[in-house]
Amino acid sequence: MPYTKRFDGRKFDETRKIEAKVGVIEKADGSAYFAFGDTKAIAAVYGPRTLFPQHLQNPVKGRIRCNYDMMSFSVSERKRPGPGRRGQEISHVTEKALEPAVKLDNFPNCVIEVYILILQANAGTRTAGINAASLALAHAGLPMIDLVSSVSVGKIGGKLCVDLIKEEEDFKEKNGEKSATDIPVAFLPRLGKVSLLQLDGKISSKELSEALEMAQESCNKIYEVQKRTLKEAFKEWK
Amino acid sequence: MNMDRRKGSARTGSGGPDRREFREFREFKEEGHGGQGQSEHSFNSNNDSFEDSDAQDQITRAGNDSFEGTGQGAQGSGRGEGSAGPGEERKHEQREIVVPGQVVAQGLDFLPGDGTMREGQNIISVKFGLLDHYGRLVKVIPITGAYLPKRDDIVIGEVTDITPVGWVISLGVRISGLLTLAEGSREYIEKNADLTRYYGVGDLLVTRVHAVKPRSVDFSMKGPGLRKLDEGLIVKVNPYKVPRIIGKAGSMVNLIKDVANCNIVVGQNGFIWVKGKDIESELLARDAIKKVEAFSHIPDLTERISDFLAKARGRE
Repeated sequence: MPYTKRFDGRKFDETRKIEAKVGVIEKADGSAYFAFGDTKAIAAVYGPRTLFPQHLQNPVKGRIRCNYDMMSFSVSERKRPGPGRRGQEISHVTEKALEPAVKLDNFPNCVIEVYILILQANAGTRTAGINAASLALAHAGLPMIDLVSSVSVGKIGGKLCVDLIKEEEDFKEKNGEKSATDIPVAFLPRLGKVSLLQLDGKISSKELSEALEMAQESCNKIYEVQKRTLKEAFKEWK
Repeated sequence: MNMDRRKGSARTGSGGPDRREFREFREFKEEGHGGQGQSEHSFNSNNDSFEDSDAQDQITRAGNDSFEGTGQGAQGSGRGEGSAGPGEERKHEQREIVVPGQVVAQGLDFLPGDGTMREGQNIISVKFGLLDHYGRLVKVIPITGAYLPKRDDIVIGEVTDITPVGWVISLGVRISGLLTLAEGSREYIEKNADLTRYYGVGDLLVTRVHAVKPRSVDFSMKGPGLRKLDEGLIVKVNPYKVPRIIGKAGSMVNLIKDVANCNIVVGQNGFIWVKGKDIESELLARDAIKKVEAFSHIPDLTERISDFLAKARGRE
């Protein structure tokens, strides 16, 4: 079955409605909220502080420690809270996605802790989490060479789409065969570098490079939103 | 230079790199000013055009000058030479808010200062903050973030525990520290003395950061103005806004003190102690401080706060 019209009526290269905010958690050193439609993520940053136990310390470079979790009520079937196989993997790839943006060599022996909570999930939680975490890191006053923008792209029924929703991820052909490919991508938009690329499904190399171009275009739009969010975090005098 | 910078900020956590920057800046400023500027203060007063920037300067040299601000605040001397008189008021342009990765200057004519770095021909911002130009030096002043204790910072801390070796003091951040018996009082503290006679759990102290260690901080109570706070109001603000609350040579805090008729001590960790003769004046001072915190990026803030205070006073 060819996929001609998206479930929520978006264009194929259009993301869901983006909402972003910084400074949502008072006690955190930096915090941000980022939402792609129904997928809502909140991120808090603490640190830098000295990393313990000591054998984990690196005397030339700091470390980002990321903790991703979904709230138990974020999905229709209750999610058991706490780290699991999936959460640990996503925490790990998020760390790797954020690392190149932060000037970690300024913080030897230190750790920067990033906590990402998914308040509501409808696919694309890791990308929303990375976008929120990048804003939170900037809000925490940490030195960064760039922000990180992230979006998922995919091939649904032979058609390339940006920012998949759950129905699209679970898309099935008439014969019951699953034919959705999901590719979360994170960019350092100014430098045009990729810091996260995962792929779940099948795709030809030609289509992959097309998909990445689509992702980069969307990331540039997300980057503009992130910049605007930070710049408008300060109120006018009244 | 980058290497030094790292050492300065991460290892000792002192204001080392900022000092260096100031020296750099002063050097090329001095060419035009016939070599004045023995200290940063004289330098500042010779350059009125930077008047509004001076409050922000204290962000970078907060570690060195912190006590000046707070001390002046505590003793209530009216050293307000910094605030512009009503006749010659200058309208300052609002400084641009920049985000990490943004190009803030192009060409090799500019020098990258704090919060920026050179990338090819461009200077990019590495922090989220306000963009500032000082002649050829470009820097970004961060406006959000956590308090990192620096040696000789005057802070307000709460006693959270008493141990045989001293008092555990919390600064409202993750790192807590110890006020040892030796540094706890100017008096000699006898062996096995009752430590609650000096400071009890829950007491608030104006104290000085004596040493910064990897895992904790040491405090000292030896120095002018360091004491236990008896009564009053504590206002908590973001530590990066503290220089703005103090203002140039204490202009902002002195304004609030004069109009609200309060005694105010500003700790570098963002704890502000307010003591007035009645609760109304304390609340007024609190509102003014909160206003400064919320609008610290707005130019001509001292005048605006002055208007705000005058209006609030008029309503009473």
